[in-house]
Amino acid sequence: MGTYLQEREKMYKLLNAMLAMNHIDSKAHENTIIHHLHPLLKIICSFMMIVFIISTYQLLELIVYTLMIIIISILAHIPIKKIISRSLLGLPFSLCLGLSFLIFDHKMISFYGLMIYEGILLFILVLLKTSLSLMITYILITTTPFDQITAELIHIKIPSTFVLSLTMTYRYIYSLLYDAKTMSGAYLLRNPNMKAIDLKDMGSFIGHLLVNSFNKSQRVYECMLCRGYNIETSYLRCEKFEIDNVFLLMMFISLMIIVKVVI
Amino acid sequence: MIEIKNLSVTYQGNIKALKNINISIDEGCIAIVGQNGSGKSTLLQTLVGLNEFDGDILIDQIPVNKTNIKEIRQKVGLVFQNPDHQLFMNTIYDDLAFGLINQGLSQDEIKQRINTISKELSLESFVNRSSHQLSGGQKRMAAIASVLVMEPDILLLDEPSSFLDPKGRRTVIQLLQSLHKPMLIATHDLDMALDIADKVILLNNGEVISYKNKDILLDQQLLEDNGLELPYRYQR
Amino acid sequence: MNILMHMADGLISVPVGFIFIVIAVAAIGYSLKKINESQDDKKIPMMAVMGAFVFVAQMINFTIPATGSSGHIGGGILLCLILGQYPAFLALCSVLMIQCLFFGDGGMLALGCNIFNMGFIPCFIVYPLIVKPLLKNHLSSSRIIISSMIGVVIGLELGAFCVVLETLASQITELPFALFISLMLPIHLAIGIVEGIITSAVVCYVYNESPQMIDYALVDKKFNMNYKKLIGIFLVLIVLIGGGLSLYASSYPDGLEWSIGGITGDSELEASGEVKEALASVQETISFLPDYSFSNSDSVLGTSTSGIVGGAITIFVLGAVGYIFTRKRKNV
Repeated sequence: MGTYLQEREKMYKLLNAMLAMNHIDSKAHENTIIHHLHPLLKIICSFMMIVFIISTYQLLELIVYTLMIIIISILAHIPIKKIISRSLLGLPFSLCLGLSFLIFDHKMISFYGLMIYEGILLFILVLLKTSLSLMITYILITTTPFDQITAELIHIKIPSTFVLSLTMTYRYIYSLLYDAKTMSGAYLLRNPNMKAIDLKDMGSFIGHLLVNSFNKSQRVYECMLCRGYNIETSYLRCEKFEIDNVFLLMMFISLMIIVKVVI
Repeated sequence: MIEIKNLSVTYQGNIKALKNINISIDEGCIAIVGQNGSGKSTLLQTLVGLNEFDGDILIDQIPVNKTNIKEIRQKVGLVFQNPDHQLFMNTIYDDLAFGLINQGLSQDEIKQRINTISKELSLESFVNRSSHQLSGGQKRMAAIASVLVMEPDILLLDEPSSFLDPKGRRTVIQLLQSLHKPMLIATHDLDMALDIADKVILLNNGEVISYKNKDILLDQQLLEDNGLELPYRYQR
Repeated sequence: MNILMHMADGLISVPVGFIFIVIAVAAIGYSLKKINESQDDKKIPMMAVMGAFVFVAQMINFTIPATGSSGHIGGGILLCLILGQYPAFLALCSVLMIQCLFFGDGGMLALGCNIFNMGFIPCFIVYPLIVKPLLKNHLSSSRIIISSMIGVVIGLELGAFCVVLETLASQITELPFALFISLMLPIHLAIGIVEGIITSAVVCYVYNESPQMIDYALVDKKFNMNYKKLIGIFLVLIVLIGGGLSLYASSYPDGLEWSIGGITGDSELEASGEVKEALASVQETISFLPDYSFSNSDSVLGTSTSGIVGGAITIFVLGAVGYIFTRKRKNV
């Protein structure tokens, strides 16, 4: 069934691809310097780096950040090709907006002595910023298991109820993706002429998935009750943020400031 | 061990899942058999207070009601039929820790208990993995472990052999045989019931048909009257 | 939720990002408080599984007759109808966070904006003000179809409108406001109608199959909203956002102009026109730190660069020494 469908059905392919995303999470358990850093440190540094990237308008500064990203990805054993292809994902909308610079901005300016349309520069800047921040997010997620990220949210005082529900959402995405894949496979096998699900069947198809999910959530709730769940306890473990991480953070921030000011 | 008096469970106002059950269940490994919809799962869930019911249930002399429910759930562990419901955290470790945190144990104690249980059930290779990366058999072992780690006095299992291949099924059976704990197992896998049960409760249509020695699993007439078939190895 | 609605990091400026992160955090906190007040611990697994459902359901495409293109459900209103507005909002937040981290839909800095556009608007504005009043007291199939349809369309249009506002406030695009709006709104009207049809079909199915699922959220008295209070909160929000944005805008009267200075290393681009001059003078009186920005005016750079670099190097060295010291002690 699988191969026959995979050749033809875009949606089936999509669901399959999503299931294969497992590997992002599994990469997160590798053994490199970057993987061993404290998750909270990585979250703060990634966020800061994005803030620095977004707030700059200097091409040279962005190039330095790009170099930093490349160094980090080499240290983390992530193929640069993968990072780049991944960073293209979020481009469509920024492409549309960026194009507006090309269309509307015809002012000529001097760029290190080179006469050039201002629009082209701004266009490149927006695209570069978008893809750089996507790269950082990708590096964060490939070097830090999701359960560690959610556990760290407890550190920054996000209530455990929300964190618990976030953890569980992630867990059930895969479970429901599997259900949806099976269901759509069954549907498409009985409707060989359809490329995707017909509009008239959509209500009952998704509705069915919805009712199933709802029932599933009831079962899960019962499972939690049986193990003594109540809303006030905190369920997640998190590593201590030890003093050496503070020093590392100091080093990182001052490095960023130096880059910012000197260039 | 468990006393049930005049127990009735009604779903959605009118569907009677269990009808006036009176039974006193002894220690040991008891199998609850019956065809689909006979009320096996409902009975198990009612014992840990997941369903509203009429009548009385006493577990080790403690009545199941709103005030005692915490104590009951401490005492009685229920393993659900579908491990996907049982394992709701991202890693197996978190799932094993979930119940222990609720019991208010210290971090060290939790760590130690999880280490012990993962050695016993050989989960070490995947205890830090996400549950969606596991095979059916691994998930089943982890689900059982997530309840066993809380060290319940009585273990309830709902269809522990479902979704398993023959080897996985055998592993689970061996595990259950080695536990030496009072157990109630709801199943329609009569071969397994024959292997591990001391006594058998036969349910049909929400009523207890018989509660006897496991020899009734060889009574073809009785089984067929209640929508079951002889254990596979005795067929033909 | 579609590709046009997920804003990436490159499309907003840092202050806009932070303003909306603050709003999102406040809304999450408020929702959590409401859920905790109701003591309904059942909502936690429901939020999780239903959030995952929305995520998955949006992967399921269907064919739109006669066009050959495809569409999917709109998640916000559907979740509100099943869970009630506060749990629905939290579920959407989880979904958006996961989409941001794992699937590159939207950025970390833009997360606040995305939560506002796709979570806050349907759950805090459209559902309580439009869908709920339409359904209160008259729960029937046709009502459900109409209200979920209207809800999804309005929610999407408002969301798209906010995308435009946020982008313009960030001074990221050269698109004139009117053109931008006239591009975004019709596209999202079309998307909204498709999502509305499919959402109402799903809600209808659920209503016929197990009506108690939908009743639950609507009948739930605990989740009733005080309209006066809601409108009050909304007004305060508008003032806060508007104030924050305009304050920012005024401290950098012409972001692009200023930014070009950065690119070329040439800060002498003349601000032209009376408006800009007026703005510049306003800036001097309003802005927090008139002469303290990293703009490329020589005097500021000359005096402060060395100080900042010196400070940064000191911190770096301190950090390095501290790190090595603690590491050593750990290894011993």
